[in-house]
Amino acid sequence: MEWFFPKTVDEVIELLGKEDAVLHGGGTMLLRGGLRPSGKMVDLSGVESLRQIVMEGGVTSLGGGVTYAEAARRLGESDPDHILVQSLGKAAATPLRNRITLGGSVMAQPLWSDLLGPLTALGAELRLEGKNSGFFEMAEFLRSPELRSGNLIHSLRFPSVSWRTWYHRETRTSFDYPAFTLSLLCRQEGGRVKELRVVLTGTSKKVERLLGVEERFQGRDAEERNFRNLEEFLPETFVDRPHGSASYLRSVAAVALERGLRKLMGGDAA
Amino acid sequence: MRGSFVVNGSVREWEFPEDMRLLDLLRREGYGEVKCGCREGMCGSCCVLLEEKIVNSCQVLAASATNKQIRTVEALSEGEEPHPLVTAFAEAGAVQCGFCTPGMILAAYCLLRDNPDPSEEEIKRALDGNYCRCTGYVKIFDAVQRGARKMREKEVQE
Repeated sequence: MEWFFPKTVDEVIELLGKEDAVLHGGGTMLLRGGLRPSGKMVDLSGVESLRQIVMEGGVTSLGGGVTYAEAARRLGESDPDHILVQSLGKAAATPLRNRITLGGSVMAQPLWSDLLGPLTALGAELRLEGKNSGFFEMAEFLRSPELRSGNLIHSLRFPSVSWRTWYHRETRTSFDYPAFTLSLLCRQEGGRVKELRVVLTGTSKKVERLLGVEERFQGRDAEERNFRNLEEFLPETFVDRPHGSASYLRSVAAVALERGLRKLMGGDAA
Repeated sequence: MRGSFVVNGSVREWEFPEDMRLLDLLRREGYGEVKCGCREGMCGSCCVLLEEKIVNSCQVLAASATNKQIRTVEALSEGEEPHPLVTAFAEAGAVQCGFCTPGMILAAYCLLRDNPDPSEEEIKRALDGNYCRCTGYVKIFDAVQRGARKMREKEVQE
């Protein structure tokens, strides 16, 4: 194993061209997955531009090297209810949140991710540098495994829109991996639901936007909202987990979804 | 490989394997206060401050910590004078087997550095990466509150 300590994105891209190059952000996923003795470890901690957080022109941009803790802290300063503050602030535990980077987490796409759902709900785009330089929507990145090699996640960006938010991670204890997560974003105008986004993670598809739920509530005012039988909108893609069977998790998700929707739309939050 | 580290204020130059974890390197070099627990980033007994952020040293490759500041719990106390948090843990009876204590104190230190008067909920959240299998946590939370009071009093006196 050989280590490299680049200072610029250009140096990283050059190193990415080498055989067996492995990007090292916080390193937690690499240790979990096992280290390759022949790997060329490219440590990203010296690349300043990957740690930048910029909020201007109606867009929020988070560097790929920003840690969960730093992202939650900075976003929370201007919007304590931001969906990423809720999700990243609860993910893993404090010492790990100080190491896990956004870029590493998006690249690794672990089933228990607390990042992919909220980013999808926010309509985030990834800026890649390397083999496929450019901006890519989250959904496109997730369904294109070839984008995961030969590229560096330089940053993620999403519109700085003010949402009512609700985030749920289904765990047995607070430090558990979630069996699934639900990310809800809602905007209302004049008592009507102007826009609703609902994203589920943890199923065999990893990330799914629940368009049926969104359509049921969008454009509706308080009297027209129907919170019954939400389970019919949940996919059949739940899988058996240590937390419970697929059918159990689907039922639990329906209860969580109803709670979240009621809370966001001013109904009973019980 | 060879690398330089600043550990508890002193520059250290060490030879170590490229895939060695910071936990193993620190323990090899005599920093026994960094405990080896789960090696999976779950228990928090190996916590150190890396560039003043609390991390699990078992989840940090030593190479990635070269040329960086590392502090263990021993760096908190000044000379013979124990840190107020250390005293608070002893007074509150928050130390039983003591294995989790270095990590607990560092986690509490990071919390109180940013938030001198935390609520119980904030204490629980800050210590969410540190397991204790002896105390049931009640005395640990009590120790953090006690330590917070001591640190505030010390600040007023200074």
